[in-house]
Amino acid sequence: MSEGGVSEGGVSEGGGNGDGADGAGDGVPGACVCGAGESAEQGGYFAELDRRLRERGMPRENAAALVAELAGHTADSGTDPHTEFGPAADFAGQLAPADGGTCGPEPDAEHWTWTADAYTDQAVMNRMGAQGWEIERVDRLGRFVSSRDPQSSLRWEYRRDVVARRDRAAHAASIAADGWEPCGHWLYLAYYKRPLAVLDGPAATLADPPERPARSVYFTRRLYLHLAWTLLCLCVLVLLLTLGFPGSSDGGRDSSAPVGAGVGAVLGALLGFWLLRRQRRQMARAARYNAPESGGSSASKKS
Amino acid sequence: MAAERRASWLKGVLDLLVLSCLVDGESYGYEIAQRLDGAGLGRIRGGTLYPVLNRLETAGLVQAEFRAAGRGPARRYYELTDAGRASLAEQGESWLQYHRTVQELLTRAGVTA
Repeated sequence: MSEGGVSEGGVSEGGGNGDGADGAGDGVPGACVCGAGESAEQGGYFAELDRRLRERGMPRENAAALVAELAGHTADSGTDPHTEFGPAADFAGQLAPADGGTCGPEPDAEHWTWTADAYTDQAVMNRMGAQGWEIERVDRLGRFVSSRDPQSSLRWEYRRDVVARRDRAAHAASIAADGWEPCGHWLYLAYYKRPLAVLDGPAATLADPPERPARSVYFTRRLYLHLAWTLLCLCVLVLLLTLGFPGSSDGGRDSSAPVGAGVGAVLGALLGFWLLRRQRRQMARAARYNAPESGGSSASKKS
Repeated sequence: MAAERRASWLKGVLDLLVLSCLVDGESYGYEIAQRLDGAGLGRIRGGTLYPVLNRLETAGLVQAEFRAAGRGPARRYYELTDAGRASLAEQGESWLQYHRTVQELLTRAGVTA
């Protein structure tokens, strides 16, 4: 059995699980000793493992199958992946030793930056995810910075939740067990991704990914209507200010105009605030997945 | 101390035990871990078991097939290859010889179970 290196290599030496064959006796010591604080560090365990396995030269399809298998193991055993397998980096090192890679370095990935408005972003993200595009981040302009390995693409799934900034970490932790990891945020919209390999294994790979879409902007008619409405409001405001403060007829001595403008500004601000809250509630309701109840992070609860 | 010693013993023979779990047919990682636990060897963590399965597969002693279930987690089913059966027979015999030697020495020293 020397070829296999099982006896030579022994059982797991590192990997954060310490003794390798733990509990070689009885009981299940430390089956899941993680607390809520630690769970925040577990975000995207399988996504990280998948990435590290590929970095170490494991073919994408093999890594996908292995990750799906391990996700299944934690589902069966009800354990936490960190506790069960140890840190993803160490575990990847055991599963794919650096000199054991069977393929060369991955070819340069395609990079693509695109954008979509909030009325359609979830649908477009998942359509692009099905074509192998992995969103790396959301830039300052709210655009999705994506990449794809043309030789061996993996399908991705995305979700968008309405999350307050202070709740992002807790929210990410609450959905990490399902393989979600953050991939960006914009205002109160937080975006998450997970490789479909977690669910589908090798079937999540794309043998022949389609060409990059010609369009990079996905705006809906609804957005243009909102923009037109905003522009109209601004025009009316300018018009009223012009008529209300002629500046030449009475030398600006009419005190009723500033009072009227002030009342109008307050009413306008209240209306704007109410519209924003309503919009946020609508965004939360449009979420692809229901946000977990725990963690207090769901904006649907806050709105 | 006792747990460490048992872990050390297990480390040297876990590959054989995994192969032995596949003699009656294919199985998947979690089921293998449960069988080993049920046999009294304690719970084997995934971080210990899967590198062993991986090495056995790389060595051609087992072959794996991935099957995604409609419901429930996806699994890779491991099956013994002919080389795996031969290795189990050969290495198993070697282990039993070693075990007998240890047993004889301990028995002579008056150790009883």
